[in-house]
Amino acid sequence: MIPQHIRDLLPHVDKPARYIGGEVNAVRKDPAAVGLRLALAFPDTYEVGMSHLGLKILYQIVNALPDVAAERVCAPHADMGELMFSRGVKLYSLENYSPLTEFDAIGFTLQYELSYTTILWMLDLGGIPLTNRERAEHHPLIIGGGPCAFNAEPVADMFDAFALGEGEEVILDIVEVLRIRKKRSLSRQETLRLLADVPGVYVPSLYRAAYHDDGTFASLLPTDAVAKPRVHKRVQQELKPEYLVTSPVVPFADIVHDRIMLELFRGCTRGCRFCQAGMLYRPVREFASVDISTAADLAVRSTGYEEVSLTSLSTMDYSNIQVLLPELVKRMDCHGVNLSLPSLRVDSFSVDLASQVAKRKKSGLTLAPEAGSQRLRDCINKQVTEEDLLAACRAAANLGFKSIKLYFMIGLPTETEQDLAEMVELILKAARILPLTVSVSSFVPKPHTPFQWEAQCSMYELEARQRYLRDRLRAQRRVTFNYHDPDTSFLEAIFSRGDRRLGAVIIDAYRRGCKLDGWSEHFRFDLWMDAFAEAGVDPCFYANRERGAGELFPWERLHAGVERSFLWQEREHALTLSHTVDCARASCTVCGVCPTLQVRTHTERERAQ
Amino acid sequence: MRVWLKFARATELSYISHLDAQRAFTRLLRRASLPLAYSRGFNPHPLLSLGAPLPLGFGSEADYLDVTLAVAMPLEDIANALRSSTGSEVLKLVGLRAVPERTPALAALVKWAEYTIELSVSKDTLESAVWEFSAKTAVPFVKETKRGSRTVDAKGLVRRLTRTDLGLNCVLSMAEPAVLRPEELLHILAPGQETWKTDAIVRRELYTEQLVAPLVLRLDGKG
Repeated sequence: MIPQHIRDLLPHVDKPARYIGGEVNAVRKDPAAVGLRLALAFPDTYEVGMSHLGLKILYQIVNALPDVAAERVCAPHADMGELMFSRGVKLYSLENYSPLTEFDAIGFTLQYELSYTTILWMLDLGGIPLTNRERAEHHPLIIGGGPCAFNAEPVADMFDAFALGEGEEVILDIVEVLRIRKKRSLSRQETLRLLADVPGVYVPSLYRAAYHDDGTFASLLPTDAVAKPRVHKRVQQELKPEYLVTSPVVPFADIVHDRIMLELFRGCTRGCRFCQAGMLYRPVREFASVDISTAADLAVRSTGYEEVSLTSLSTMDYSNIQVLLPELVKRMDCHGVNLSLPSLRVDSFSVDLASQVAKRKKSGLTLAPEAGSQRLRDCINKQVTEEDLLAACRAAANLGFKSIKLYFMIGLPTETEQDLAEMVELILKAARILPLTVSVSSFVPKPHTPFQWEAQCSMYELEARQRYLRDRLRAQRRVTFNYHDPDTSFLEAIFSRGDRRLGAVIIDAYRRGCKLDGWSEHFRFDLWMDAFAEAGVDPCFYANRERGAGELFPWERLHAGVERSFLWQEREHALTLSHTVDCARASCTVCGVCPTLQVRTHTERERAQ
Repeated sequence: MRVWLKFARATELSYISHLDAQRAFTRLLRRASLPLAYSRGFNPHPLLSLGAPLPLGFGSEADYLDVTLAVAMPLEDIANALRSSTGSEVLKLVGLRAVPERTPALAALVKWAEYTIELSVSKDTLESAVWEFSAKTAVPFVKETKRGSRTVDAKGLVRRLTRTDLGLNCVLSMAEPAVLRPEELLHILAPGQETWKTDAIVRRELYTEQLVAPLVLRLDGKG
């Protein structure tokens, strides 16, 4: 039953279904009957948070433990948040409507740099001090995970610990530490020292950062013997069937991805040089086909969903896709369930498979050539030719698809006007085959990638390049041209490679009113720039500066397994337009991940042999 | 096979919209593995419709669903499937009946809805407001709709109005000449005042023109 103080808010807010919990498959355990309570928090609204696969996996894994409860918490929309502040209602979990302060630990997933102020807002709404220094013994431990944890420095002051890499095992290790804390009544500091000993866990308060006179990063030194010199990510060698989500929560409210998400594999070693996911989640490991099919059946029965979406970094690369896909189509047809695919590899083979999937709904296809010219595609190691793209478009047209969506990036390293001109040409050629929607995003250099040394183009330059494209595509009736404002990409670039000095800026920006920055109606670039000015921090130093070969990075101690020397070599290969092969299909490229983390590529095809 | 299903919702579900409710019912039927019939055409969808939309914030003991199944099955099996499926605690099946294929759509048959309105208003105030309304021969009321406003006689839109221990019980029009919502009735009963504080509004039943509930309606043309 929703408590009265929360029910009193609901008639006054937009779409209250987002705040009521009680959904089908939600796991509600009696707080008095469990030993530990974890809140799994998503720093965005319910519609976004409930669409996230990682949260569903951890929810399933933790709730399988009889003595531990995992409860969900999402950020409210602005109207609900303001009402909660004014009525003194604390941010609560959707299972037991418990305020955040009642949990032993709160795990935030860090998917996106622009969610940092929303984390502060949620802590504030929950009555939890914003920095780790200010928290008292009774406050929950605040733990971060997800891709942005691989450079957690900008939010190092706000978190008690970070977990790097895949969460299935490390969350159980963290639970064990929390159990020990309870049993022995350990202090917060003693608990943090135990956590620091868990593989994959980084406790930022046990390190001190130093900087050179020119402002560049100098060192991050352990201040405690338990602080590891390097924190290696966690990675599951074997993808067990219990990591597939078979009874996801079915929201009442309409959410962004309102369907079953079925994971086929993790990792992608195609080696696109801008792609952080490709570097962070190596090596390729596939779920067994039989486990995937079984999980699909179970999930359909437990949810009543009408759609299953195959989610992986590059779905068509599943080694046994030619067998798995028809099998899934057949099974899902029996339930009257549709399959859907995210963006496809750019070739006619993928398009052909996609058409088998989309028997009924052949509305559109998404392809991501990323760069417009062959030269630039070689530079980023995107192994796609103009002929591949046009062949894919022709195949799509022949198979009855009505339109195609193309993803491109601008501002990639070495990009010139010539590359943009060739992008326009390529778009026009493709548009002769099928109507197009072209989405252009701005390149953000990410840590742990070969482009981590690169400068991001200035916002003015990015705007000029957008204008160049828009002017040439505007008159095209068969092309719809979309692009994002460069100011959000600029902030992403600042924080993705930021250091601890940015923590004060984030807190100040929050105090000025920044939150839900991923929503254009809430994004306040002016307030962000005020916060940088107030702190005397130059944002361009982080976003628009090329780093030297020998410069140390704030994330040096956080290790995804891929060696810095490999990344540097890949950067050199980018400049000489040299191709690097995919180790899941050809020979080892000596990136370092397998020997360092004691893992190896593991595919279904291999399993069958 | 065409079936009418009647559900009662848990209080929590008064905060979901009409579209949310449609999705929730569809998924409940799918979890129950009922052989839903699908529309033909480019984008097939299950043949299923809610008898009458429920405004956001209202409780309901009478959500009617008009469903077509691809294969005929005993009503008892349908009921068992729906009562044992996850989500049946919050969308509780309270009754069902098979109807001939040619029966008009439920939405077309429903003309009246019964509500209970819990109010924090003194018994005397309520008593006199109800008495005053009953005593009048005509109560002109300006109905605001998306297409503009027009004046209607509220007397013709209220079939029953009684005071209960907690507030009011009423039967209000769901169809032509105008829909009357419980909040509008309260404005009529207490004109010029601050709106009475409403604690809860629950829809108790839906009725046809003859004030018969769909599950007991005779469909052989003699009723």
